[in-house]
Amino acid sequence: MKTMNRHELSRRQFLRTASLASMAGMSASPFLLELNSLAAMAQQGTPTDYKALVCVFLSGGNDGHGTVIATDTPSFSAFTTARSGAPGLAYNQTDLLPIVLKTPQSGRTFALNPALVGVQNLFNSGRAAIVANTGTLIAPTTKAQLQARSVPLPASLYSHFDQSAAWQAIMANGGSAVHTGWGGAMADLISSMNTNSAFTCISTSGVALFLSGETSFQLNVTSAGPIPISGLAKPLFGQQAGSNALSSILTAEETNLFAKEYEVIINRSTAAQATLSTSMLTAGPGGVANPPQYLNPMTNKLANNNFATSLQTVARIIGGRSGLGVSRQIFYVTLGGFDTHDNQAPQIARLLTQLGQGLEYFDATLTSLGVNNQVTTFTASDFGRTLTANSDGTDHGWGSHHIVTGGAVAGGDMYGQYPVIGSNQANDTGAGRLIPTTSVEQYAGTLARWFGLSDGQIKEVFPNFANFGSNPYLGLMG
Amino acid sequence: MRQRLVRSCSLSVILQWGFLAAVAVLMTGCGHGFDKGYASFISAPTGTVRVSQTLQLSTQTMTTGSPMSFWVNGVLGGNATVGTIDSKGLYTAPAIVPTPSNTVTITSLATNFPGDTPGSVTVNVLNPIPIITTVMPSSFSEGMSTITINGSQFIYGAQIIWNGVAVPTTYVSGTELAASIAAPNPGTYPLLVSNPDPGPANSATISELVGPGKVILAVVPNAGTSVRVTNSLKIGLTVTGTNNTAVTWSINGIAGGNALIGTIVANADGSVTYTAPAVVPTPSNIVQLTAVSADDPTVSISQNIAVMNPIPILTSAAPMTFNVGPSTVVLTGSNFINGAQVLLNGAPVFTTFNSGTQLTASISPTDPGNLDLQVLNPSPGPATSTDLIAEVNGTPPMLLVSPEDASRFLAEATFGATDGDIHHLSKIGYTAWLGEQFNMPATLHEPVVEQSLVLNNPPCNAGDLKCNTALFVQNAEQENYLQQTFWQQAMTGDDQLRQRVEYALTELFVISSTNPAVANMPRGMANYYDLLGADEFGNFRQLLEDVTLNPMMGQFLSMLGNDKGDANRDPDENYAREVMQLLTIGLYQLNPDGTQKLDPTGQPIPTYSNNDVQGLAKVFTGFSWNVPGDSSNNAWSNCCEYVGTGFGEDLLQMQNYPGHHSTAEKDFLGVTIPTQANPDPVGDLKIALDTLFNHPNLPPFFCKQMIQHLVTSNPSPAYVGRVAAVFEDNGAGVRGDMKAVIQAILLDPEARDSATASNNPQYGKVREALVRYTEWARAFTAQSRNGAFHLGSTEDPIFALGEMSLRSPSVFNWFAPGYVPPGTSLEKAGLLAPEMEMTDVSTVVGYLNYMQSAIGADAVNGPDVFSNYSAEIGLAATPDLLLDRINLLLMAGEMDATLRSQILAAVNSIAIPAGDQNAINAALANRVKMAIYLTMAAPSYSAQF
Repeated sequence: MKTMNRHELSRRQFLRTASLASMAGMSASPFLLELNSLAAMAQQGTPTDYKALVCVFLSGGNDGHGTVIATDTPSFSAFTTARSGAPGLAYNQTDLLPIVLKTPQSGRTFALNPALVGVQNLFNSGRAAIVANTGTLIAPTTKAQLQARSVPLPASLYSHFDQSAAWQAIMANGGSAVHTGWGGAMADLISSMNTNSAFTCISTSGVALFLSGETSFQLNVTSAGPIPISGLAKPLFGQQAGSNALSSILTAEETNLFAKEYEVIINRSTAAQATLSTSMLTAGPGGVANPPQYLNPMTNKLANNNFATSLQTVARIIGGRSGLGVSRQIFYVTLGGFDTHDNQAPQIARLLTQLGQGLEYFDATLTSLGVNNQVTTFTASDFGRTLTANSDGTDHGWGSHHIVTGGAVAGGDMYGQYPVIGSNQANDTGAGRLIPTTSVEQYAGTLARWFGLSDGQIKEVFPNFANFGSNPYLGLMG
Repeated sequence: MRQRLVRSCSLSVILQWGFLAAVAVLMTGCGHGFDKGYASFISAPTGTVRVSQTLQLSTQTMTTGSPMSFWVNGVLGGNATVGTIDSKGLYTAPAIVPTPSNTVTITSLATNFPGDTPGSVTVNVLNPIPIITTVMPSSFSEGMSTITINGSQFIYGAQIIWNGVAVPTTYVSGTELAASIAAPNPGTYPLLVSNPDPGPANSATISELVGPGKVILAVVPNAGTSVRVTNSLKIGLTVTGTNNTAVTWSINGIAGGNALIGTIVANADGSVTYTAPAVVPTPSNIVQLTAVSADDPTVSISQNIAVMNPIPILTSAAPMTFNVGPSTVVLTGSNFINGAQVLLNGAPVFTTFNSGTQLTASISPTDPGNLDLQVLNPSPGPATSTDLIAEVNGTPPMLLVSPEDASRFLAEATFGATDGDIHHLSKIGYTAWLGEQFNMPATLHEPVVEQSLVLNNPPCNAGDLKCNTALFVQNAEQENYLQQTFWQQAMTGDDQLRQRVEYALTELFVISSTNPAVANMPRGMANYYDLLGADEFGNFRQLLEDVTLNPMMGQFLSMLGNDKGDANRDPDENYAREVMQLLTIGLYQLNPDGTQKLDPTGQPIPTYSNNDVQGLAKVFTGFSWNVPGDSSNNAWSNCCEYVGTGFGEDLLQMQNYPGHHSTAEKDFLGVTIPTQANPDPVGDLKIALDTLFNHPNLPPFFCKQMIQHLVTSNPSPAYVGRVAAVFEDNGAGVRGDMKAVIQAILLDPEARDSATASNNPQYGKVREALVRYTEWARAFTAQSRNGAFHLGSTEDPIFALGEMSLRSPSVFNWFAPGYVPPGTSLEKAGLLAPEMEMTDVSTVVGYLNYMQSAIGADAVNGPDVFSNYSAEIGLAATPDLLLDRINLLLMAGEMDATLRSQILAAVNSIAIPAGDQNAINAALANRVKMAIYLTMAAPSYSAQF
């Protein structure tokens, strides 16, 4: 399959502008619409299936070392020593949740954090996998190469802002020079698979770099669903003339660029609102079941799991997909608070409980919607954290372990090499900051191929993909 | 096929089940070699089996003598996913119900008859029967209680069945479930666990005892804890622990209250409505509402309510035209309070209180032109009337600043322009205005928050540490008092420059109550806010030190309690990293004009490496809670040793604990602090902060962001360079003079040249939604209905403004200074648009709807902050004049002709009826609301340029 060049991108952007114009009440030439569908068929064929990727971003940098723990004696002993400085971070082995890999790693045994009961259940039923020591890389990097600076490295390692951006945007040289994310870039390439690309990229938590494309734009949907602009939905202050004026004002030609782009967002919102509000399933009885509360280990009280509610919002959209004209969707959901420099033990227990219960709830919900084999959910995070604790937590690291769930996942297994635990090991840049052995691009590229991108398209989205061997894909998606 | 074969052998099969021992005798009917399928035939005694349980299949082996092979779903011998089967036909179900189908098919073949038709049975694998071992608590008191059930075999989706009804159940693990149980009456209730399909299965039923409860009352002041005279306030009450929820209410100990302290009536939903008296009670404006349980009269709860003065309404003045020089003006209206002041262009003048409906003021206007009259009622609940515009005869003098330019300046330097401020600034000019503002005392937030906490909670004795701790430093529930004072000062504080710059600084030096430790201390957060306000007109070096040592920042970026390292523990790097990246020097080396320095290959040059972070992290060790005179380990690690009204660890700068400070060598940013024999936390901190303060990146890094917050998202390098040069040297050899920097930002030609700016489509910024809201409130003198600015947080993206002060989701604020919206004309033009990062399809709708609700509110309905729009209503019959005023106040005169004509069309569609004055007033008010909303909805208003 040929890859799309920049010229075609701009042509497609023109076409999309035309279809947006038609939604806004202007007429679009039937010729243009026909051209659009012809282009779509030439590009990808017309898919009859449905697939969705759900990115769960663990904001702040999740402690991978304490999420998936090696329990063989040498590893666990080294883990215990490294965590001895911070109370509660050297877990009792009996509290950990063992997992047995389908593909054993020689001499190693593994367990999950005590709070990840939900993930253990999914793992045991073959619907979750672990991807070990994954992080931002430009090329395979050894410690010697790192020390000699003989390979290019992502810019601003250990910085929240930049490493979150590097995870989400795949920028060859880091920094904030790239404004699009790989979710958005994938959406740009596969948008012809959706008859309405407005619903390709959806965030439940604000503007996500991950979902920013050059021609694809994200919708932000809260659990309240799409709320209309009151002044357009009902006569403004009782006056239809007021609503008419509002409509004109919100579509007027603006010269100042800040005003112009602000207006674009308003119009994107009004264009999507009606369709989404009629399609999206309701929350609760008759729609998508509400998530159960979680038992907050910090208070031992039941509390609302807002993360699970975000996943419910995603499920409500997926369940209503037939009205949206989509066969491919990419979602972005966040769970925040992982920057556990201090007070880590109770915080991480609370967060991972929400994570595990949320993922298990989502799995059950997707199963009841009959789409569990068509939706793949994966975690991402700023970075991992140090193995060595400070007095009450851990500091910014690099590589980390991640979780992928869904019926299409070759679950019950670990992909990538779990690192040797201990001080000054091969992948340790100091204090247990891990040099990743699997790049984000390999992880993402594997998901992208399942999602339906061609090898060529994957190389277009992930510029360093080819640096990781002749077959950089992980076996994760079978 | 199989059916037929089975039929042909049915006799022997049936007999085989009945008389196993005799089977060999009776098999002759099927003859030698058996019918096809006979030898491999299998059957199951039941079609279901629960997970991990076994099921013995029947075979013909005893008859045929042939061993058997078995497959489960086609897998020889089965596997862990579908279950296993041994050579004797003993099937063991898997540990988890197989998916997507729970039905497994077992096929068989008699090994001695390889050509035989295989046998087959299907078995449904069911979830296990749950087992309850313990319930915690084993009994509880009537009311709501959280129970946790421990046991085994709980499956995801399991339900707790309480008294025959399924309750929302939290699946904690295969051995633990939890639920909230409502048990309003004492008794013994059946409790069981039911596993979900397939194969729903109930545990044994156990009995749970619900005992008589201890009554607990809790007040739910959703509408706030203050109310203006004659107004009503609804207060909710929850009664738990009893079935008898009746209470009796009193005010200041008087059942039902009276006309002096207000009255109280019960509502059907269990709440009460308190109606304030016509006059603020004396000697205290605080009244105490008390509820006593009917079930247990020893149980009561009290809530203080502050009764506030009314909002003055100014309807007319006589005369309405004046000559320059001394005059007397009589103002008529309602709700005037003894002590009310008349404001002339925003400034108080000598006022005589005649009655609640009449004031006399002595004025001496100096300049011909418009004269803005208002009335300010005194505390408690100070409130200003909307404006009345009078006229001073004569030819207006040349103004130093045009009203449009004044409005534009005030949009940058304050939370919004007002008529009075425009008058004043126009007359005295920018520099004099800045001078006034620099010298104006700060309105503080911390004393207000403390007073609110004290007033609205049961009193604590000074020595009762537990009570004071709960009130001041473990009180995440009462952050709303901080939010109230934020709104009040943003909208009404006279020190507007300080308030606005302070707000910008909270977005650079971020702390946030999304951090649970910070959220516990609303008074400490208010104190942090005041600290920024105090230091913003001082020196940056002091600001940096005060921020560094503030315990709220200490908690937020975890420098507080940061311990020196040892073999197995490193110092916490959090503050070390962020103080460089976000607070002072940034990631990349900058030229003095804020542009990036590049290496020979064209790449930006990092300012520091991770080694610098680790070196600096050692400096920031050994600081923690300040308990005066106590540097014990207990003080080091426990927050709540020293707290009470007027003092506390939440307010004091962190103190140093030398024993916890690293003595190792500290290398950072080219500075080396050698290994120390004696730890020197104070000396090391000074070196570190001096190094950051003197770093060449600091001036352009800080100044560019301040320009972005106040003026424009993309200042030219020359503009940044001019301001940064002032940071470096204020002209008197002082580095870091904040007043000089603020003045340089606001008075730079690039900021002030409105004609150039409005002709450049790339100039300006998106106004923050929160600031757009305060601009409305200030322009139209909006007032709090209950006197407390009870708005709460406006962070909800779809139902509010999508942001709130001190509530940022992380240290990175609501938006990043370098944000570029992809796929936009801004990106193509190479422009930054930081505020666009919080502008999405939800927040744009949230803003529009929130504004419609705010603008549409009045003295009776809608959100707590509303405007009477009296000045605008006076212009509503002449829409052109109305739009002139709105255009000046909100858009600095930049409203274009198209927008103006669209708004005019909508305004003119509202006909002014004849006759009925109420109908006329309603139509005029509707015109005003229409015009203001449509202006504020316009994308060209959402941008500031």
